[in-house]
Amino acid sequence: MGNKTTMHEKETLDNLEKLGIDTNSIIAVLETDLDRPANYGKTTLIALPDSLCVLSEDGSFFIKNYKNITNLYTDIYVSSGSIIIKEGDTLNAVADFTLAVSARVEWFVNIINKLIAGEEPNAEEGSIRQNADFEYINNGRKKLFLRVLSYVPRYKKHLIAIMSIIVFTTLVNLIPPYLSGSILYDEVLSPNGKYQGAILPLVSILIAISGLTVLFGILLGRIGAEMSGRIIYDIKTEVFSAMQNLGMSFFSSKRTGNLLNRINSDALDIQYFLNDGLPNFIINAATICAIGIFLFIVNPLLSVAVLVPVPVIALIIKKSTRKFKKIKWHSWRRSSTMNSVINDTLLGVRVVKAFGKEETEIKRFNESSRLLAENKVREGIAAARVFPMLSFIMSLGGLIVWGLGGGQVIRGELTFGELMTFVGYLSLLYAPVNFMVKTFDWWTNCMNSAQRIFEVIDRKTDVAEKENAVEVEVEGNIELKGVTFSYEPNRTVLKNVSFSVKKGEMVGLVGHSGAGKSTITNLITRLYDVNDGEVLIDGINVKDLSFACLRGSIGMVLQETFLFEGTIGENIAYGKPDATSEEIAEAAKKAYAHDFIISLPDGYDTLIGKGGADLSGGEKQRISIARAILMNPPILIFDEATSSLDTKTESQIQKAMDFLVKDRTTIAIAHRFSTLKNADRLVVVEKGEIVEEGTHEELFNKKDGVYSKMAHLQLDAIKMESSS
Amino acid sequence: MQEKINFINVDDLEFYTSDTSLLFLRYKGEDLGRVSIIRMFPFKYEEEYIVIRQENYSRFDKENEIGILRAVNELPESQAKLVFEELKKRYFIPEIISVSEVKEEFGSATWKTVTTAGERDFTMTDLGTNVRSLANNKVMLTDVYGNRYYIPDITKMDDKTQKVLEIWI
Repeated sequence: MGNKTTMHEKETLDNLEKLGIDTNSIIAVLETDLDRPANYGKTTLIALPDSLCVLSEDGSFFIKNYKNITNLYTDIYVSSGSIIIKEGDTLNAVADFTLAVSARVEWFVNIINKLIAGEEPNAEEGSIRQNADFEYINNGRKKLFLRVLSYVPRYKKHLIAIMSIIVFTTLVNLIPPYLSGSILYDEVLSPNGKYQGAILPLVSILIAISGLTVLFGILLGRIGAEMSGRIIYDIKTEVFSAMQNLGMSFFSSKRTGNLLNRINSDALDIQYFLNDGLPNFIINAATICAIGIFLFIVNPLLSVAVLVPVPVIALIIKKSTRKFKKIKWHSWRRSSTMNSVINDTLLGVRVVKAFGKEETEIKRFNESSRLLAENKVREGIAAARVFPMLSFIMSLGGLIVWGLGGGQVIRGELTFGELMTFVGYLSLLYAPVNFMVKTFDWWTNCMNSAQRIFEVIDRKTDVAEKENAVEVEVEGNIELKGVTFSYEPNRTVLKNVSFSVKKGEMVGLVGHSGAGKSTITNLITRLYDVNDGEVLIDGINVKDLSFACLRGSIGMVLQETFLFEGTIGENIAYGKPDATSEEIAEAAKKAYAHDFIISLPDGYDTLIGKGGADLSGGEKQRISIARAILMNPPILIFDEATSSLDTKTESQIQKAMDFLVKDRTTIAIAHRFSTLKNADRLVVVEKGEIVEEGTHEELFNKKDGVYSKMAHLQLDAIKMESSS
Repeated sequence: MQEKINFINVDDLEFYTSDTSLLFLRYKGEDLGRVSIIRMFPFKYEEEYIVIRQENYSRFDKENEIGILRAVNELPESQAKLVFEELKKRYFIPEIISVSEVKEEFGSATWKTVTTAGERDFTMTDLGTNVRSLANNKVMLTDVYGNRYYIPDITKMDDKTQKVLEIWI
């Protein structure tokens, strides 16, 4: 885009000078990609020190002084948006844009709003956030291929061995047709032959050669497997570690596709290609060339005849591959539809039965199963049509040789043995052609996968650790200063949020769901970076702290406890892998988890996660509390579960939490009254802004307060429940 | 608390626009300021079941919903025109008229097209999920930025375009 923009900008600047505007005073320029709603074109917005200038493509323009603007904001629609200007009570759209430029729009609107407020804007282009979930980087065909190959030279020895075997095999493969053709008929069987009657030595040589070929094949397979196995290990490790280092936004974005696939099947595609595709491609290419040259030397006329069907074969294979791919893709889609029907019905069996929908589900399954079966039939029919046709054309080549060559033999221009040699080479020639065309398909698959994999590897993380990040002993003072944040451009989640939590204090975050409470904790743990303002821990910006120091100082007890596959003991020790068994038990005891754990037959060695024991919600919560107790961090983030548990479990969790929050800075996203009352202070968040701060008593009694309203509603609900 | 959906009587509606064609509403004679309109079933019904909501919408205030308009055509012609204009703006999904160049490489596709909103070049990745086929040969494309494009009848597109898209449909 670079050059084009500068050209456009230059044009714009010239226009501005004509209007009598000092172009040196320009703070920022925004070019949108619509000239009015729903029409591609261009509108240019220019931020000047005291006013906003809007230029249409036809040259018309208007200027608004910041003194008259209340603020500027954006409206986002399905795949476009408008920039709206508010002047007092008057609203007007000043420009329209599509999502392609939304990040730039966000950046520009921020600048204007800062200018309106009389603040210093950050007009650096570098502060524009990445626009798409991932910017599409076209690596280019050649570059991509070279990069895949670049993994190979790390294994030079393997490579040299493979190449030598390939060359050798190709040469050895050329011998048998000659022996079983010219030598057999003209020299061994013919009465005047040089080796007349030497049938046994000939057969022995042929057996030896085919034995040798098999041996080389095995050797090639072994070395190849070893090399590609290691290459695939390298690639998988690289992708996985690249993923682990990426910010949260990467994982929550929609367009990153199936990440599991990237690690597994994409890597497999590359392996497949490097292991089978590439060596065989080289063997076959070498074979085709060698045979071609050999045939041409022996008999130019016949070799031309032999080559006639080759392009036809290549064309048929290419055409049918595309068709097969389409049918296969449909089969895949249909089978995944069918699988999801099975999956839905089995997982949701309670719902199905409760609604008496068994018949409907059977019908739904039958329908998807039928569609899949139909497509499988189509697959079979297509295969049945193409392959006989291919073998017919191939045999046609043989027949041409027989016909032309037979004539030559009769006329004495060719010996019978030479003809047989030709036929022998012919069969060696067509197989590689088939293979070469298929290799092309493999190559495409491999390149697709490589593109997707390298996209992940090359992706820059949006939350990066600073090079000279500091490590400190965290005490636990937290401060948010004017924090503004949005997950997606133009959709502000937090607006100018400021509050502080002193060491050892417990603060409850309260607000409706979606108010921004979890977002606040995400910013403190730096899962995301703020757009504006700063988050300080002990007076140090979290961006300056090392990840090890920051995350090692914050313990989390989340609503949804994720337990990894492994034993309960290992899960408790997740944050402190070197914990002793005694420490683990101690933590579990304090978390009121010890009792239920030892009543399980396998105690602390009970396997959980996939295929392991099923724990209830309350049990999982206590394990995650034990995790936090064991880790013993100076700061604790506690996201209270909304689901209610039985009274006994609840009081146990309450006691466990009481222990956990003691002498620790705690930020609790709280729902229960007991937790709210326990907090030293409550911070009420509403629509991304802090609206109230104070103790439970203060806020509860505040007339028309947000918290008071919420609390009273909840109390009414409790009363209603207990009275019914 | 409003528990029932309010199907709006069209006589209560009076839309008007600003100079820059933002949509405003007087409802039962009361000026509600700027409103947004939303299709309830954007794929199924384009002109029916339209939710009207007061602009200062937030997801916590359900009462911002004024009600549901059963069909835009129930409105007088001049009023319907305003709503159609607004729908056209909010659901800006240009129709692809012709494709001058399409290149598919490594599971992504780049297009040079002429649409009902003018010329447009765009890039798509992950064709498996971003090509969505709808009933009657209609196809919806989503580019890397989330912008959408619409092909009313894939069978009427040129061979190259069909070739690129056919396996995903």
